[in-house]
Amino acid sequence: MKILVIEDEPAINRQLVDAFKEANYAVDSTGDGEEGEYMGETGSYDAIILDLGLPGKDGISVLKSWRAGGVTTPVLILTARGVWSERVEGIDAGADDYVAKPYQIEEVLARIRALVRRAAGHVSSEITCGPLRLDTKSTRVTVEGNPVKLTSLEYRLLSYLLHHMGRVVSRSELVEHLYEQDFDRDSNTIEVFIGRLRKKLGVDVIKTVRGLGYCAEDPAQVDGKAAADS
Amino acid sequence: MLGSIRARLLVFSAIPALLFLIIGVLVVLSLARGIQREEFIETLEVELFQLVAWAQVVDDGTFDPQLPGATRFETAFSGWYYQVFQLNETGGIDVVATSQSLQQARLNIPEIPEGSNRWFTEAIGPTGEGLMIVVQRVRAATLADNRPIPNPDDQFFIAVARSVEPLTQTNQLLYRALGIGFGIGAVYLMLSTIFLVTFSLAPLARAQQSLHGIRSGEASRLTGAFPREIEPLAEEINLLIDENEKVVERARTQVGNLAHALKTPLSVLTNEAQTAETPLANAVAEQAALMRAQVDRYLARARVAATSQVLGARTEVAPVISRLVRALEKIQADKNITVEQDVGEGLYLRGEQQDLEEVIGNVLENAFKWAKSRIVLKAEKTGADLLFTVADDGPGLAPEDRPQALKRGQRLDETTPGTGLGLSIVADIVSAYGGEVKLGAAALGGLEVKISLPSAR
Repeated sequence: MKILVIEDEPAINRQLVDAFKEANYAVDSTGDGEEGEYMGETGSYDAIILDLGLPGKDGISVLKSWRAGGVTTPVLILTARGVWSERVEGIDAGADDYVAKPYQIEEVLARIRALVRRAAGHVSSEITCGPLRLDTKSTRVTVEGNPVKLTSLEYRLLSYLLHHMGRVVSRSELVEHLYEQDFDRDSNTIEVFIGRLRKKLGVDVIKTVRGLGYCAEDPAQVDGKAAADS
Repeated sequence: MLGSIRARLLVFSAIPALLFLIIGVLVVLSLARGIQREEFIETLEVELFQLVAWAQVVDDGTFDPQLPGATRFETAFSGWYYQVFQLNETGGIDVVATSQSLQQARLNIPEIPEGSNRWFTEAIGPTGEGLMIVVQRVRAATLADNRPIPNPDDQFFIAVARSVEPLTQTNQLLYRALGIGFGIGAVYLMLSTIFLVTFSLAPLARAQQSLHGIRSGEASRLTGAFPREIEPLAEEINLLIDENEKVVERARTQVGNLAHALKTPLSVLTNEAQTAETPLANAVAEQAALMRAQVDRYLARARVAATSQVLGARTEVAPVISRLVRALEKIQADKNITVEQDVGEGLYLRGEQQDLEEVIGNVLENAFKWAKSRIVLKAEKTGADLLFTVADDGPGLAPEDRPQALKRGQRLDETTPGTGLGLSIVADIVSAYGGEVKLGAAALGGLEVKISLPSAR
């Protein structure tokens, strides 16, 4: 899971970045509207936090040009004025939710979690895949009720695959959504992480689709399907 | 009384006009009377000259009483009289001849002025009427046509009198005619003055009505054509309203800037304090939360205070509500809440759009937060007010908790995200507009919020 933070107040920007990293997200950030617009267009983000009062280009304009350009990433806007016309204007421009300043970080985290979930079509904050359970709220993973300890990157990887359960996710897509902008990307390391993850989970939920990528699937369902096919 | 332009115009135009009319009438009257008197005297003199011409003194020096006279001197008490007399030694009068019209009566000549040959005097006639008399002093010799007579230096006085009765009669006619004329003139003057004043002041009355309309939220500007004298005033008023709006807008922007300036460091403080579990961090978090609440509260109040003074503010209700519902439905899409809207046609708030957005936005947001599946929103006009009702099918609010929900910085439920100030800000805005917020139990099972705000006509 990778998010983009566009906020010109350095202190707030830093707090948001820290909080989201703490919650196992890959985070890119900028304080400039135009740069943010470019990053939102080109980077593969699962959600974007956008402050409305930005230097360079204001938040509403950035949002409008994203939506006009076909960028469908969920966007949470931060409004400082806190007046309804600003919120409604943001929503009308294509935002998916808003948080009025001053806010508590937990609130922003909760809203972003909900947006990512909603975008992936999940209603509950818990995603289950056979014996595997992933709680997006507490970022805890359990297999048959036993907690599994994952690193931040492993969690991110599993979370992304589970959010897009049943769909084949390519290596390059995973790289896009797992690593921050400046990170030295190497798609071969993905295989290493998948291997580690499989070992830690101990259940076969991540399938390798040769030549295409990976797919998270409920092993019971796969078996059932295989049985039905035969 | 002179505080009113109408009264001033009436007083300052009607009084001089009436005075002028009165002076005119008096001048006409005195002229007419002068001319009449002149004519009267002239006829009197003509008769006198005629009599003097006919008067004869016979050879023995006595006056010949057989004066040939016009018929007006023959009819008894005709109003025309003459009398010829001499002065005797005792200073009395010896009448030597009279007109038949005098019958046995005599003219009572009051006094004989020394050295005057012809003079006018007045007396009471035989029938008690007023008489105008002209008296001529003539030497006996003259009357004898210079024939030799024994007493050529004797003096005879010939007096001709005429009743002033006809003069009085024509005067009365004159007075009546003038009186009627004056009356008509005065009525005409008054009516035309009133018409003039009313007609001239009509644009002022219109301006007043228009201003009243602005006050009551019917219109936002003075409209319509005004005469050249009032046009600048109307323009100034419109400019003033513009300026007022700009000032409010500026104040609002500044309040917004202040909000931005304060909220960002408060956010940082709050969130920074939460990363640690020391007593200092806890105290900072607590105080920062208090500051947040105060900042929100007073910024909202400052904004409302600036707003409620705006003249001519008028906001259509339906578009505001539909925008808010659309936005909230989008945000809360995954909650699958149906909003049943019943917003009357042509409802207008006497107030600013932003305030309506804050009130309805906060109440609706609260309803969305708590509702299970349904929200019913109603807006209608009741008398001079707009009544908004927002009800949800959530858990509702216990009666004893309701007053708290509207109080400053109260947050009844800490587990649901939100500023917790929503309803208290609503209460602030609504009370600034002189409206009312009532919390009750909804038929749907949840909370029902009833809000009254002033309606624009």
